[in-house]
Amino acid sequence: MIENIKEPTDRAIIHAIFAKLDPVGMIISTALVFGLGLMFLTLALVVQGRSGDIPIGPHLAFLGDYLPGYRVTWSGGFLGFVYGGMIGGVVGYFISLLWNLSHYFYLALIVSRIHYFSE
Amino acid sequence: MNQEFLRAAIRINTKLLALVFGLTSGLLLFTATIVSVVLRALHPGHYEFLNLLGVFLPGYDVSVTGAFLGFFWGAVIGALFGSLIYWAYARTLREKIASYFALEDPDNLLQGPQTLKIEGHYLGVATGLGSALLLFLSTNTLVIRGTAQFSVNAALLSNYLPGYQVSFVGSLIGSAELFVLVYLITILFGFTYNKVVALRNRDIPSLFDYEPARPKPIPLKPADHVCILGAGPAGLATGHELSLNGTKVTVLEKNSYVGGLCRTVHSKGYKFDLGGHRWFTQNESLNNWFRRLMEGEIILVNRISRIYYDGKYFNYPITFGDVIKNTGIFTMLWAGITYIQSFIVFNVLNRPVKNMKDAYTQQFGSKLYEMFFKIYTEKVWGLPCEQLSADWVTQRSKGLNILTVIREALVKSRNVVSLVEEFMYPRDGYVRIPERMAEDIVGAGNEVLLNSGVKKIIYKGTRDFEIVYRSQDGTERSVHADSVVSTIPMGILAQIIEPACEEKVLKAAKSMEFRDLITVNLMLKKKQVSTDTWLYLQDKNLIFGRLHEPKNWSPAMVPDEAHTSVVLEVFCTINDPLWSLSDDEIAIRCVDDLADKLGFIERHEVEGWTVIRTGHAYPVYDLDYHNKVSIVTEFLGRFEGLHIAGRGGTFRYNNADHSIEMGLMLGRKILGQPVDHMQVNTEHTYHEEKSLEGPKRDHYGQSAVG
Repeated sequence: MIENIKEPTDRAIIHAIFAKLDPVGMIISTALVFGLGLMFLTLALVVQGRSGDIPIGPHLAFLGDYLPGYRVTWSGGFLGFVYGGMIGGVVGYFISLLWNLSHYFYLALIVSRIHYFSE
Repeated sequence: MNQEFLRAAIRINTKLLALVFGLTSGLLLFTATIVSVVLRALHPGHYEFLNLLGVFLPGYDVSVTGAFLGFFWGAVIGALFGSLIYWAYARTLREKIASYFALEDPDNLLQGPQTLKIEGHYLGVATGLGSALLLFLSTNTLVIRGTAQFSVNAALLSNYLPGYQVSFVGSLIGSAELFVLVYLITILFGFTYNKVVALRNRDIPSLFDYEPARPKPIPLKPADHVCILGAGPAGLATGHELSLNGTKVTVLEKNSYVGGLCRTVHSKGYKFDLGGHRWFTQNESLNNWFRRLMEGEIILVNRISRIYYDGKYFNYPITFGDVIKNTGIFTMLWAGITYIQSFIVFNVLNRPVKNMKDAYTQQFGSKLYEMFFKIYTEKVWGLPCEQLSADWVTQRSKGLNILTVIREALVKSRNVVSLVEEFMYPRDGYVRIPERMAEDIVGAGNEVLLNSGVKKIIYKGTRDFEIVYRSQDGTERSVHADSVVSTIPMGILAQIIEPACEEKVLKAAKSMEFRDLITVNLMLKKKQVSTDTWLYLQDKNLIFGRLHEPKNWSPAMVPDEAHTSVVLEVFCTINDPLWSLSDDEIAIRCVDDLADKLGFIERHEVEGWTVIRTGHAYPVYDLDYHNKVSIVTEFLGRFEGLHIAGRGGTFRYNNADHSIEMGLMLGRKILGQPVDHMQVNTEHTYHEEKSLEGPKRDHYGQSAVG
């Protein structure tokens, strides 16, 4: 628990609290997770196969409305990896941007007073 | 205190991550809905899939209105999810900070100086829990509303989560499985992110810098006789520390008073500082020294400051609420856009930071730069920000202690009294600090010679100086000393020391410019003008850049309760159009601006004024200043036994407390302690736990020896 740790310095706290997210790191890792995720969702249905007259993954197939060429098939799974990666990359970048931006804004307001501080 | 700071910081970050996730989720759902609306118009009968979300998000459907509702619901759920994630990350943080202190290994905490390291385990637990909770709640929503058997869409999840059903038991099984799945995915995510960041291994620009440890200074052989040039705060502090430890000291001051820029002028029953200096330092040892020195004379003053911009007053410290109230949400949005723009320009396209404008814009974006920095800065320096060095921004930040400011800002949210908003002040004006030091120096049997301007310094060999000065009676005299402490402007020192410098040094020394200051004290038959301790004026049309009301600092600054005064600072350069105005012309323009543009006074309330002109007030950090300082410093470094200190002496923007600390540390250095006074006013020493070597005593106690 927090009470048990040794007294931290201001610097350690501030470095930890106001640390930035690396945008490229976020883009790649989120893209990977989204891409693999959509591929897994697709291929899991493909592997299970058709059940009676119901087509494979009718709901997931709706994604084809938004992602041209996407289907719940083997090839669709790999295309889903690409699409998922693209969307994940954008989401990852957006999150890192917002995270860094919100911290900069917060710090900017705090730091702005420094400008008026020296006498 | 720091534990409280840590908690406050975690709370703030929890809110910020909630904001980030809320906005991301809200915008995602908004965008997906709008895209569906547009495509559905082109292909009727399709793009209805998102309508299913209406079961869980009241009012939501695939429509324009639904898009806004979707934004709302997405933001709410995202914010909750973000809070949960940061709550989990905080566990990591605490553990990492604890191990950081145990191992003294900063790499354990962060990737590089400023980049977040993601701990997959804790993040996985948080996201897993969040996802499982979401599935549990949404499934049981269907169960409770009695539509479980019709929820074929939800039931399809069993394709991925074996055993999942739209039932209470099914939701428990599904949630457990989802937890494991999400946990594993997050581990993958964290692993990938950390690997990529480690491979990139580069620092992301930050408002504060990580500094490596510096080598320990080598102790000097103690001096026998020290001649100090200038009786400002730095020179007197050195003399004070040396005198109280038995070293012979001679202080030479060209003016008829001590204090330098920390002068308090007495005029017609009024007292006023040149600009209003406060005592503020986070160094508690220095505060103790100050309390001892000024025993019985200290009063506490509340800091109430405002900033005047675009006809409006912004409270200090600036808050989101205040800015939005005064400028409107659109200005803030515009500020956000300009920040993104500058982020791309400086951090993505890697445009170099060449000057002060770039430095401010990189950190705050162009809109905030224009609002809060540009006008006042250009007024102070008399140059466009494009012609000033970016170093000023970092130096000013370091000079204040960004760490403290951030801590104050965060902890203040729990109503902790902020040091920043209260300061100590000598009841009879700031000059009492230098006066007290001078009294102690003289009391120790040493000399403080006024009206004694230095003419020449002759270096006769290692630690052997002759200092020639014009004495009070007009004759030239000299002092012999084995050490010299110079607080006179660095460029002037280089020109009067012998052996003379070479042409390159002379050229650099002569081009080290200072900004000058005209201070106007208006005496008013009025009880009070405002409650401000300072008012900063970001308006090109006003002749002055800052004002303060001495009576708000100390009642002793005015002759009686029925009167007050206002001190106005006019930033200028000797021989420029402002400086060339007569005292009365300047004062009248100040009265006009105060009465007509600000409405602070009526003309008939003005009973008189005092105008003081001060040279060498602020070292000008032009684009080549660093090179000039290096050249001159290298030259001065050739004279063993010569030390520099103070604002002018080091060409560094010291506050009064910096100068005093620098002087005290220099005194200790000359006494043979292993300290480096030039580290004052750099973040490294000024803001962290003091790491000064020396005697085991209260840092600035009665004796520096033993």
